[in-house]
Order: sequence, then C-alpha cells, then structure tokens
Amino acid sequence: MNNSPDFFHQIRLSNSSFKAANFNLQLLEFKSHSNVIKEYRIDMFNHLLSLESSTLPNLSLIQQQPEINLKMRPLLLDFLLDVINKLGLSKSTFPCTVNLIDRYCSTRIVKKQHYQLLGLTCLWISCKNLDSKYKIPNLSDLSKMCCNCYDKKLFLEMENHLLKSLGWVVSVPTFDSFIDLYLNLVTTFNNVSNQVLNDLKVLSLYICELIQFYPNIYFNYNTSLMSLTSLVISIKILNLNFNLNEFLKLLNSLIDVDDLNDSDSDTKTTDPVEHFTYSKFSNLSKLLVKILKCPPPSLKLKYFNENSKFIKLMEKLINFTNVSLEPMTPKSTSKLPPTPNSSNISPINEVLDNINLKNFKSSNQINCLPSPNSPQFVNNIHPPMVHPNDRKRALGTEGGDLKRSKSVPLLFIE
Amino acid sequence: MVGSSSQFQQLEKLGEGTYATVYKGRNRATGALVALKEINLDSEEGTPSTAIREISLMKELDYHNIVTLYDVIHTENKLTIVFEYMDRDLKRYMEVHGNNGALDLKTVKSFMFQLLKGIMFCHDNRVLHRDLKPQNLLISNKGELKLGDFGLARAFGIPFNTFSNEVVTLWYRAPDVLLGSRAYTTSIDIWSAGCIFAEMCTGKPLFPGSANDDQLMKIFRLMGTPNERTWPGVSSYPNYKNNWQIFVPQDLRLLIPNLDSMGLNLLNSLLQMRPEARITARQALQHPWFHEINNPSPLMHHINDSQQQSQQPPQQQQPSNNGQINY
Repeated sequence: MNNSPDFFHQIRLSNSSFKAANFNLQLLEFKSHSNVIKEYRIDMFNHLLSLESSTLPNLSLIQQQPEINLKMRPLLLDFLLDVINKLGLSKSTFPCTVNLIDRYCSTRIVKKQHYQLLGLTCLWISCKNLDSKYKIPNLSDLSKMCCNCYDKKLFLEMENHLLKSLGWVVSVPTFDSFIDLYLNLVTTFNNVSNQVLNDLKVLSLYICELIQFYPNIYFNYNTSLMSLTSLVISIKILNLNFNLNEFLKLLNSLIDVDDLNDSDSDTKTTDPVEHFTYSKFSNLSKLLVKILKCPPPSLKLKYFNENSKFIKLMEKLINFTNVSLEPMTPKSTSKLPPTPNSSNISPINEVLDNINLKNFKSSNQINCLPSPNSPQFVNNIHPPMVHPNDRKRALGTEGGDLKRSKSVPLLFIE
Repeated sequence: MVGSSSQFQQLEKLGEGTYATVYKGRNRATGALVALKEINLDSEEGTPSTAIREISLMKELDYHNIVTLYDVIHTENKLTIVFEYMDRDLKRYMEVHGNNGALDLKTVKSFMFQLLKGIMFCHDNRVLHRDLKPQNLLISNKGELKLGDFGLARAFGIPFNTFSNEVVTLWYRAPDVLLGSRAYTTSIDIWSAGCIFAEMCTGKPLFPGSANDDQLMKIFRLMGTPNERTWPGVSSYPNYKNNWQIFVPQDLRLLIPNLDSMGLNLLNSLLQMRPEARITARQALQHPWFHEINNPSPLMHHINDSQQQSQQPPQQQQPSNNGQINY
C-alpha cells in the first residue's frame, strides 16, 4: 500500500477490516497456523521455560524496599489493568508489565511517590513491545492518566533508566503464551470445539490475571505452572474430561533437560528433575480455588459486568467455586457488620455468591473488594486490598491517583 | 559493559533506514570494527517500539547466523546500538561478486543454507523476522551470512496474534499478506527466502512490484492466479477480487535456467502460494539439494548416495515431473 493515503483510504481500511473479521477466514487461518506451529511448539516451549527462569523477580529483595510494600502492589496493578482494558491492549501486555515492575523492584530502590510512575512506564514499554503502533499511548496520554502528577520528562528518564537496569530484556514469557501452548497440545489428543477452546482460554486468562494480585501465590510459583493450573481449573469448571497425570507426564517429557540449568549430569539419566509435579500443582490449585471469587475492581468490571460477554462463563466459575468450597464454608453465613466507615470505599462483606448485577453500577465499583472478614477468606492469603487509609498513603497523597471515580477520566476522551 | 559514545570512533555512513542511520565504527580501545546504528529519540514517543523489540529480541537470539548485538548506548536524545561489523550486505555482494548480479550455484547453496539456518533459529525461538531482503542479510569476507535488522521482528504465539499487514518490503512480501491476511506466521519469512533464492540465481529481483496490486499481479503472472480450487478459502481474503486476470503457472526453469532440478524443487516448495503448503525452514534444510552440505565427506557421498535418498521422507525424495511438491 502507498504511504500517502488518498481520499478513500479510510473506507478501504474499514472494508478490509470488516472482511478480515470474516469468521470462516479466521477459522481457516487458525487451522493452517496451528498446523505450522506443531513443528515449533516443543522448541518454543523450552525457549519459554528457559526465558522464564532468567526473568524471575526476587521476592526477598522486593520485601527489602524501604518505602514501598506488597500491599501497594495490588492497588497499582488494579489501576494499570484498568488502563490496559480501556486502551484495549493485548493479553500479554498486563503480565509483561507486572514482570517489569517486579523485576525493577528487585534491583532498584523505588520511592513511594514514584511507584505509579514506574507502573505506567512499565506499561508503556510492554505496550511498545507487544501492541500495534496505533494503540501505543504518547507522553501526553501517559501524563493525563495520572492527572499530570508526573512531568513528561520523568517518564522519559524512567524509561531510559528502566531499560538499562533490566538490560533491555523486556520480552518475557507471559501467561497467555503458555496457555496457548497447552491448549495447542491438548487439542492434538482430543477433539475440542472452537467454542470450548475459547471458553477455556477466557477462564484461564481470568484466573491468571487474578493470580497476579496475590503476591503470596504469584511469587511462589512459575508462570508455566500457574498457567497450567489455571487451565486445568478451567477444564474442571466446564466439566470436561481430562487426564491430568498423562498431561503432566507429557509436559515433563517435552522438556529438554540440557536446556535448563541442570547442574549435575550424573543424576540426570537416573532421576530427571520434574518441572511439573503433581504436588506443586495440587497445592496451587487449592489456593486458587479460594481466590476465584475475589477479583479486584478492574477484573470485576471486565468479567462480571452485566454487559460482559463473559458473564455466563463467570456464573459457571462461581458455581464451581461454591461447590468446591462447600465443606469449608459455615452453613449460616452470619453477616458481619460492615466496617464502620463513612465512605463506600470500605470493603464490604460481599463475595460473589451470586452475581448481583445491580451492584455493578459505576458508583459502586469499589465495593467489590472482598472483605478479609468474610468466611471465604483464608488466613494465609493476602487479599488484594488494603485499608482505605493505606490507599491514600500508598500512592502519595498529592494525586490520590487511584481513586477511580474522579481521576480515571484520564483514559477516556468522551 | 556499559558503553559511552566516546568509546567508539564514528567512521563513514553505511546506510540509512526509516528510523535509523548506520555508521561504521571503531572501538577506540581494541581497534575492532563495529556497526553503529543510531536512532534519534523523539521527545513525545520516547524509545521507539522498533528499537525496544529489536534489542530485546536480539538479546535472546545468540546464533552464528544472526548478527551479534554488543552493546546499547542510551543517552537523552540518541540511542546507539552497537553490532558486530559485517563487510557488506547481500545486495552489495551480488553487485560486486556476481555476474550481472547472479552468483554461482555453489555460493547460492551456501548462502541459502545459512539463511535457512538463521530463519530456523528465529522460528524455534518464536521470533518472526518479517523483513528478510538482500539488504538485511549481511555477508562477511569469510563467506558467512547473518540475518540483520530486526527492526520489524516480533515474537509470535500460538495459535496466533493478529499482526499488521504492512510488513516486509513489498518485493519480498508473501501473497497471503498481500491479500490482507493478518494471521500470518513463520511462512512469511519462508516466502521471502524463496524470493531471495531466485534473486541470487538471476541477479534480479523476482517480483519487483510497485504497489500492492501490481505486486500480486507480478506473482500471479509467474505462479498462476489462485482460485478456490487451487487455494481453498482464497476468496475470503480482504483484498481478493473476482476480476483478476487469469494466469497459468509458469515453469520456473525458464526463468532460472542455470538452477538444477533439485534446486528448482526447493525453490518451488519455498514459493508456494498457500501459506500452509510452504515448506518450513527445518524441512528445507533437510532437502536433498543440501545433501553435500549435510553430508560433507566426499567418500560417504558416493557410497551412500542411493541410501541417503531413500531415507528422506517421501515428499522430499525427488522432484515430481513438473517440479512441484504435492501435499
């Protein structure tokens, strides 16, 4: 195509994107693509695994940060996920952003008032790396997103510094790339309809997005295992038959042991180290079932909204969770009194038992944080929420940046 | 190492791209030659996405058929990427060493083999180059070929992401991309490799189109106009037209008389119109045309010739009469 678009350029573009949305064409291309990919998937899988082990954040170093702490992390992520959803960015952009933030926090001291700057800059870099050109926000957009509390120059400085600190290693293996790989493997052995594939992907992605808000889970497991566990839970939610043991065996057999930092070659032949073990898997899935119903506001808005196309799937997810947690929840759900707080920012004792659509109006968005007092909450998991006062403290009072009701107009130019 | 600009002495300009200028440079400390790719930074855009992708992907790709990235020097208004210095690009090499641009078959074979190995390594590491052309293939004086300029490269996933269809310089762009496909995959690099193969043999670009439609016509003229029978689903592509002039496929032999039939067979497998029918880099490297590279011992070559052939998978065993591979 020419560089200088004529008068009809825009019309042609919209025509072509309309035609490109042709379902049959997409199906055809999907088919041909997954055929081609078969030849590469084992190499890709191993490449992703080795990349994964070289781009891990370090939890103990993050905990040594003097000014920021893990309680602030979910708030920042919630804000960023909102931005990502509103800009319509790719599925990989959020996990990539999170990885960059955590890795930077594992190497450099971050001031409290710069935490949001760091978050937005990581988002900017991930977006440049993964999204198409016309979706990349420019500096003015970024500045507006945080109510102009950071100077444009600061973003440039931060970007420069961040790339240097991370040695320019900014393409990291993300949840969705593993999920796609597993789905591709599953479909070689079972015949799965495209609708089911799509549902599985949506559910697994939701679970993976959710995990990132829970540092106690996120930092203890690898992306590859968390993606796998999410997929298996999704399979259970949809009530499909699945031979997990066989699949774990298959995955372990695909791993090229030489590729992964294997130290002693003597033991290798007799006892190969299993990357995906059943015990790790089942521990993780127990933890995950407990958090499934507790999404942060951004996820709640995206998946549990009455207009969301995912609402039917999410109903299944809620039912699944209710059934799985049955023995643990006390029968009489005696409602605890709401926290004595005037504003509606206070966490309310509302876990998504049934999806109450009326509560999803924008004014009430903030309510959806689960209360730590709710029976579903298990002590060893930190919920993605903090006391409202922390909220202010966390993000530096000058902006109060994350108060969504007022300061999010940023994103949308209406 | 943390570099600074003063570490390198800037010599003559080597080339200019859309977003960068490349200079020859010399490391002041060691005297070694390098290539310096300089990118001016825009104050609204920050570090360009092309640079972020190129650098982060090339850091992953450490391979002898891919240009090595040594260092990145990032200042407030300029970004300099320091690459291994290569003597010339393939385009220039063909001008200097070719007979009217055409290279001898031995060189073509060696370059094709190295090109396909570089492509295979990228694809194994889930990277699409998306801009393969003679200007981006670098040749050293020792006859090594390396892939350079990953400015348009991207990581790809499974099943697929949709990409922009404004990739690959027009002449080397695959027909499915020209038809408006956004879900292309590794096969687009393979098409480009086929175009480069033919160009090395003849010294002239295979499909020198001037615009999208002209490019398609140039391809159809040689490969035949596709229809639902030869390419099921072709009519659902966004740029499909039902009033295209009908061409029948030509014999590539007439165009490239100096290439042996085995080579023509490989070329045909690379230049398949349907993306899913195109050979993959790994399969191409196993093609019998590369027999002497894969089996370097001359003695073995004679003894095992017939045996080796029968070990190949059936579709690669020998070219069928019309030189086309049937899938």
